Amino acid sequence: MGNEDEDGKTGEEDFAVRAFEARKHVWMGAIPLLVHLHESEVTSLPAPTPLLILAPRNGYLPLLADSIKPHFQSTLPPGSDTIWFDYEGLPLKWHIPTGVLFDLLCAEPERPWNLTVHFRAYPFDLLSPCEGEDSVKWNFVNALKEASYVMFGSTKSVMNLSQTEQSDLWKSVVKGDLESYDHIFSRSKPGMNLNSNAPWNTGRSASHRPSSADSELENKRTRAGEGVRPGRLPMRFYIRSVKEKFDDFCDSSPVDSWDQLVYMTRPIDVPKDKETVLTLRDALMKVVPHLFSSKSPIVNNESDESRRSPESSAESDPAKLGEVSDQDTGNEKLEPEVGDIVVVAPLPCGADETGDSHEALEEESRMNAQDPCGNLYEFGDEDKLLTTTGGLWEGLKVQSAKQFEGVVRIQGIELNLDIPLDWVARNLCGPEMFIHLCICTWVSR
Amino acid sequence: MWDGTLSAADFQYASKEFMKLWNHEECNMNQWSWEERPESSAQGYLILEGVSLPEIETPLMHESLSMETDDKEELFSDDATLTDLTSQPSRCTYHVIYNESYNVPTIYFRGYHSDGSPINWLDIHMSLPSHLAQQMDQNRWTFLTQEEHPYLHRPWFMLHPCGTSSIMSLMSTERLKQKSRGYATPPEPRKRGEGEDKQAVPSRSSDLEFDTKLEFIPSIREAPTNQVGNYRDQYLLTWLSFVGPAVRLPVPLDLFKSLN
Repeated sequence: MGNEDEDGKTGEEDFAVRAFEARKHVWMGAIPLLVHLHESEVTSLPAPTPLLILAPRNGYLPLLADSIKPHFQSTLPPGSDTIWFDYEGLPLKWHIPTGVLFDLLCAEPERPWNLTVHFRAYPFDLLSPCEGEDSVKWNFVNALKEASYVMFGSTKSVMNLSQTEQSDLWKSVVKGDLESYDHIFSRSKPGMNLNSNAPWNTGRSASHRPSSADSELENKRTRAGEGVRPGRLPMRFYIRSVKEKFDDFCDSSPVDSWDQLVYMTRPIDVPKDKETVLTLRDALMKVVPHLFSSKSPIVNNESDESRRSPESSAESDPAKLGEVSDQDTGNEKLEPEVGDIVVVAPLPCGADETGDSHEALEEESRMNAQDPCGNLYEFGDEDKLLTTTGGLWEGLKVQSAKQFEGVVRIQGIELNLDIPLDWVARNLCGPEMFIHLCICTWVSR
Repeated sequence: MWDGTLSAADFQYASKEFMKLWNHEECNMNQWSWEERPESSAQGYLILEGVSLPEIETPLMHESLSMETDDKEELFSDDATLTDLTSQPSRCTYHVIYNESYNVPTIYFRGYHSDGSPINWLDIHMSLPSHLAQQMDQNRWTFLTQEEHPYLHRPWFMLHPCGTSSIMSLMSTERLKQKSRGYATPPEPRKRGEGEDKQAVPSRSSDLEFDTKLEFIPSIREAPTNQVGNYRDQYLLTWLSFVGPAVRLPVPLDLFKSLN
């Protein structure tokens, strides 16, 4: 027993450290930009060279003004400046975090990302007016308020921040300083700090010494899933449709208008029953059910389906084969779980598994990030499936027959759809607490 | 106690009820229509187009404007141009959209002057009664701002919805009964056409003003709290009674009378 306790503690520490590491990586995420000044604003010869700059994923484009403007200042025509950007002619919405814009508009990540900067002729009909940093800051605060309301049914945690705390919080976002961000929250947001056992700030315990007794306790509570459980999770879905399924994202044509995209805020209800683990797939099923292929094969997709499936490790995965053959024969079943469910043995789902499962999930998300293949219906190997699923077994049974016709990216990571949403919310949300979910789908609108 | 929120399905239902009521009423107002949006959990939203609004300028409002920097404002403060503007109505379109996060309706609007130029933040500021203009000043970023329209993805003015549910909750029976005790004389209902866009607005802090408004909505007042159907039927009208003035959307008082 003693040994087990010992192991348990190590596991907790590892988890806390890992959780913090995951968030730290997300916060450090940045996109190299190559910024060109729009030709209509070049008044000097030779034209200014483009500027290479690193843009934080969690940041907003207008915040780069101080770094960009001096480079182009001397060549600008007379007049007052309002900075805005376009990518291949599409004016970029400044209130969407830079990382989300990149994931959404650059199907095949382009590095550096070639953006055009403008200081004149602000497209007021397309973009909300941006009156400098204040607009960006308040856009952030309002989003944070909204997220807080979604999660805890009240905006008080944000409204009660003092002026100083609010401005410190904003500074930490601008600087991408996760530790001070967490610190402000833990100090002043009762709904969201670890002392009240909320599982939303696992990072903080890790930023303190993981070996200290306090943080061990906190970790334990966090792991046990105690604390303020949000009623809903704040999510924004950004959906881009491409004309046809592609093997190479390069083939997709650029977005010329925001009208080609669908995006919306859709909070996802968190089940009251703590045993039920909600997955990313569950959220997608709820919000974009039309992006899942139905059990009966769609005529257009059938040939694609059989062509694509063998590539996706179907041979090593009997579950996969089972499912594919079901689809090929076109059997309409009332019980869709036949394929995978029979093959994979019933799962142990004890609390001890939690730590491991998170590790495994991180592992998986990394793997997926390195391996951006079109097929998202991949579980990796079965052992992983066993460790990662646990309580989401139920969800799998119902939904396993449906295949998601697209690619999901959060914070630039292509995610396994069976990842618990709770983990995504804790680790991959932006500083405004929203999960920004970019979907590239080949299902037409 | 009811928290003042609506589900998406309730919003859809309440919208249909509201349209029946408003569109049936014989008044000079334009008619609301329903825009289908399958991607919305409420399946769509309400639209009221082409509302003409007089450009109202009063000396009082001029006084409340202390800082004027822009050319346009100079123009407004000039008495010579004032008369001209008053005769030329501006046109506004209103959208009532279900807010998925706050579970309440949210009003979006956009307007154009007769010369085709879009109505901006300052125009709105100047057209509002002073206590609302003050709200706008004090809460520059949290009261009325230009935000992206959730479906059209263009900038529209939006009245921030974060306080809506608590106001609606205040209007529910129990609280109202408590609050209306102590007010012996009901305030006089105003006549239609009498500066509707400036009529008594329940400001967020004043109980008296809440009661003023609720005098017109007897069925909400008398309905038992648990009668779900009732609050859905009248939700949007009640809500518009305090939202309308801030966005200069005149709500015909006959609508409230017809609830009797």
